[in-house]
Amino acid sequence: MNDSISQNFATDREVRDLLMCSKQKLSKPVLAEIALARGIIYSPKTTREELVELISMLPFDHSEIIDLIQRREHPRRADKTTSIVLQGDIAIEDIRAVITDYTGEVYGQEKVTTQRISNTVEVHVKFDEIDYAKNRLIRRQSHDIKIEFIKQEDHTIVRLPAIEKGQLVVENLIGKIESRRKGTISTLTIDLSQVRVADKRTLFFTNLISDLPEFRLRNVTSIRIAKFPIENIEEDFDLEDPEFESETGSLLAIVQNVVFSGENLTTSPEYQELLHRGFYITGIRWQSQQETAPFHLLQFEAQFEDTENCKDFKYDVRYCPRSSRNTYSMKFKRFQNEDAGYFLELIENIAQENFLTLTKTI
Amino acid sequence: MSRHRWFLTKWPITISSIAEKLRENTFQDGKSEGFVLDRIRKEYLEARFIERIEYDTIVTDPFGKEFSLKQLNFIQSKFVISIQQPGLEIIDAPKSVTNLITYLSELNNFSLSLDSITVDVLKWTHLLQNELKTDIEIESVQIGKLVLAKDILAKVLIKGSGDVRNSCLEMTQNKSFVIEKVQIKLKDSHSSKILLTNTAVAHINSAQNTEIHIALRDSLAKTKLTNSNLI
Repeated sequence: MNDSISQNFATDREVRDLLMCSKQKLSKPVLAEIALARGIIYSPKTTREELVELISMLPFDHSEIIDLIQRREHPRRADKTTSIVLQGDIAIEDIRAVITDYTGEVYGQEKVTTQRISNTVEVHVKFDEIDYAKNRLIRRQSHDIKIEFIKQEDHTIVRLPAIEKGQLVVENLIGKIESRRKGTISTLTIDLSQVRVADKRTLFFTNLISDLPEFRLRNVTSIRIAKFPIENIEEDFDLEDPEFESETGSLLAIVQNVVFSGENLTTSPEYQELLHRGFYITGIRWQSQQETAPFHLLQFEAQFEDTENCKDFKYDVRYCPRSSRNTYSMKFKRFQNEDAGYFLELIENIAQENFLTLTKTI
Repeated sequence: MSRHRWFLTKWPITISSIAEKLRENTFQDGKSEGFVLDRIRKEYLEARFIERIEYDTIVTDPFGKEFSLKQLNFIQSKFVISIQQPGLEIIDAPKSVTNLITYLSELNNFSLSLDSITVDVLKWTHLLQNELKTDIEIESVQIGKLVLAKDILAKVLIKGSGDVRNSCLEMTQNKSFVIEKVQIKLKDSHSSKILLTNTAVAHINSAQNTEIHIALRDSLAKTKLTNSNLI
């Protein structure tokens, strides 16, 4: 089908799909408002689906379609953060230069802006993601990601959102820095794939939650655990009988991973039981209270994307301020940019210390 | 008047090493929370968990001017850790014991498992009677989930000036039910009253009485304890 070239208008069906797909942004009141702007009043009893069907039959001109598309667009939900440590002294000028290079390279496709605050270079990359499986009006999704280069004495921390595009941009930038400096840069990421003992993998997380300085652990509300896959012992035997293998494989009930959610999970007997059976933690969400003013309750999340190898570490932090009556609303909000950095750095530092001591003892 | 609650716990380390850890985290000036060890024996230890809470209250005068007052509060929870099951007893617990339990879990390297208890209250009462060697009068009984007919349940409170055991039996004959709470009166010199619940909670309504406290603990340990999640 080659209709996208010849067809320069939106069909009723495309408009219908556009209206249908975003229940939150194009809610019933919003649809009623769109109709009202055209002088049409529908009964309040009309369901959202009926409204969509009715409105999509109306004619839409170009600017009206653009307006609908803009109404539907929603900021991407908050991504977790991840970080890479670049060893060695990299000059801020080098970082800025490669960003300028990158900006030129992607000119027209991505919009790159930079900002330097003392020893930090902040890069914002705005780009569109196009999903060709969807119809023409809803395939474009715009994103804005933030990458930070934080220069320390002998290393640089790169903090980025834990999504594929973030990784790609950072890899590109690191490659450029390497060619500019004419040498490879050794990087450090948290990766427990070499740690093959379940208890030690769990220790990484338990240390993380209890070692936060100036914080008291209050609650653990979610734990993800997984188990090392069962190694197929029979593979070593050269058994000719094909039925033998399939039989043993299908009879076993295998639990590979479990997600717990609740309160005070570390003391729950169910969780303890599974730990004894060789499961290890791959992700955790916990709440810690600040020991000093302003006594925020913080909700941290840390997990490995790749649970089998414990790779691709990502994390997040939200907070809930204390009310004047010494209670918490338990509605956790995201920090404004500057504050988040401080708490993310706490996790980064502790996670790294932990990672280094764990891998040293192998 | 004191309130006791027991939890089913298996301590991964010995009493003396727990005591050592509590000592390392002693409550001191300038700390927001910590422990105070009261008593250590071979089989058990008694300690207190203290939380220091500081906050500002804002008072507005009639002219809209705001004053901020610094408030300071201490919350104490007394607890007993024993090798013998149930393992953990919290005395006069504050509203939430989450902080205490999280702290204990942290001190035990997160290998502590803790569970609430479901207990047969009548059996507990019976064993308590044996333990104290005094007669016990059951003043009131609260029965829950009493099946009257299919899909119809009743919650019943039976009260009387004398022992209500017989009326209770009559009422529940051939029916399915759960005894939730029992209020008993000891026929001793103080005529102390105790309220026992099936979640292993006891309210003692008399001046501090170590004898009753120990009897409660021992009789509970002898009752078959089940972890409440199994029911």
